[in-house]
Amino acid sequence: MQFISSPDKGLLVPYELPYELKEFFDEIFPVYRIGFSCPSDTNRYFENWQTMLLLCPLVNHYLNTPDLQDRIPLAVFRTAEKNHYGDYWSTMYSICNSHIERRPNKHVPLIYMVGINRGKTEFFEQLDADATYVDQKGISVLLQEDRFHKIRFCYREDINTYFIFTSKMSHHLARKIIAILPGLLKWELPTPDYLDIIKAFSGTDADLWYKLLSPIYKKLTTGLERFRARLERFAQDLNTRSIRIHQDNIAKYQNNINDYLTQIDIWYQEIRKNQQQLFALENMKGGEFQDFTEYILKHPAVKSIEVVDDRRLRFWVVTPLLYYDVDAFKVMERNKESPLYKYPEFFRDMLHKVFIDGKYTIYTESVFMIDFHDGHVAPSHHHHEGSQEAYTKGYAVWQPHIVPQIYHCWGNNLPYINNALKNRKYIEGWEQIIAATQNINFTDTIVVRDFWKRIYDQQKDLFCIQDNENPEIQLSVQDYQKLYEQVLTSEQRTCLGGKEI
Amino acid sequence: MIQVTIGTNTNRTKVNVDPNRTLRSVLEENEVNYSVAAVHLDGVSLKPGDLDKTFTDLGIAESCYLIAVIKADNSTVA
Repeated sequence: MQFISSPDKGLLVPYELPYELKEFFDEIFPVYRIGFSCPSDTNRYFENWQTMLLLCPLVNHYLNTPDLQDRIPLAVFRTAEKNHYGDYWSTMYSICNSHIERRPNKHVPLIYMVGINRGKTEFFEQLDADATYVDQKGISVLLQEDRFHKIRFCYREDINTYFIFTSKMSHHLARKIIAILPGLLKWELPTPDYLDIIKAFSGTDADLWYKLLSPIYKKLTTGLERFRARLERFAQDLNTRSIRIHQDNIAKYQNNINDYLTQIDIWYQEIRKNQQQLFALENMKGGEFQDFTEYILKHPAVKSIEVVDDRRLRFWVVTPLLYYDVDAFKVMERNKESPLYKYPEFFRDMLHKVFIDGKYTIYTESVFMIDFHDGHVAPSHHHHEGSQEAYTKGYAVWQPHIVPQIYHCWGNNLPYINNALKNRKYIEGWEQIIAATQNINFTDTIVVRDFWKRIYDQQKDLFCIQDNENPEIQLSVQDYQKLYEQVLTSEQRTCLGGKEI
Repeated sequence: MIQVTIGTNTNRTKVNVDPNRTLRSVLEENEVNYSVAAVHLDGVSLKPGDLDKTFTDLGIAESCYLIAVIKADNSTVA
């Protein structure tokens, strides 16, 4: 006979749930799931809404009876369809693999329906010869649907699994299997007529099945009372949502207040800092800058000053090169391959007298800016402003490390300079600047080469060296060359005269 | 007595000293480590031997700045 799914619609397939019962399904599914699981059942032979409807009262009964609670879950369902190609052990291994043999919930019986699609005759012959799977003929006969239907019902105690090997799979067969479970697994039934309902479910008595379904169906399709639970849930959600909105709002405004207070703290700190600085400035006798002004106006190195804007001054200074590494220069002199030997003898002689003999001192001109607002020393001009020559005033040759548009190298002096300027210690910052302009670093070969080239070539007519014995004598490289040649000629004459004598 | 403002990278003090004292003694008294510093007197770098001269010898009659700056190297800025 045809199994009919609902009172008014004859749905052939049990997993097609009538629309009216969808909400009911949402209620029974979680309960059913506590009692039964089904990891693999593609065609939903076991895992369908009818099975759930049937077994849900059973699970409820177990849940509500304290003595029975520890016996749930009640069973695990599983189905598989296999083809047998002659290799019996291979087929069996694919049916009962290690995953099944080692399943962690072995205390829960596994109901495993296996459909054999190909090689049925051969498979069942070999199965009958396998001592591991012993057919329980009494049950197989009950489940057999017709005389062509091959079915074996075997139990493997070691893995607590009931295997139902069948030559054809059907929802009807699955329902019949379920109908034998109460007796097989010794279930305690919730009501005396429950077994009759199960029998009806298995397809022998449709009237009883209708009796089970009809009241539920009516309850869910007639009367407004059925919306009560839904409205109550809605009201609960609404409250929860409103509560959450207010909680979120409170948290948000609390955070805003905290941020605001943090910001106020920052502003107060700024006020305090500014007040301290203001107090310091107001109470400073004469002020730091006034001291600096007095100091700078008497400073021997300063040649010119220009106001750049309301925070910066530009300075031109001429200072002697006093700080250098004598050994580094000696190494250059000893090495005939050094860039020094690209220059004529008079030039090397001049540098020797400067850096080794100390007879002369090289003076250089440096131009730079000081930002008194931010407290730092800066390049004299922006790179795009005018020509390189326009930056200096020709008081002397350019300082090798502070060359317009090319170098702005204060090296290790820079942190000391800027630290002093930032702390408004202008005189100390200034003297560190002056010390930096009095330095030449011979290990910085690029800069040094550049310097030789410049004073020999482009700036050879600019004041460069001063005679230390007679500071009145100030020479350019060009002047020194002439002097050197004169001295040389005079020496040669004397020498020649001597020979004549 | 003359007023000498002794400045270093970390500190600055004003002291009244006898102009007949040497620069070295005043620096040492004020715990200025001049061995690692270049000393400038009113903007002029001191030459070897100047440290043992008195303020009077160096032409200071009223006040002066004695600034010790750290000896550091210049190098190319990348």
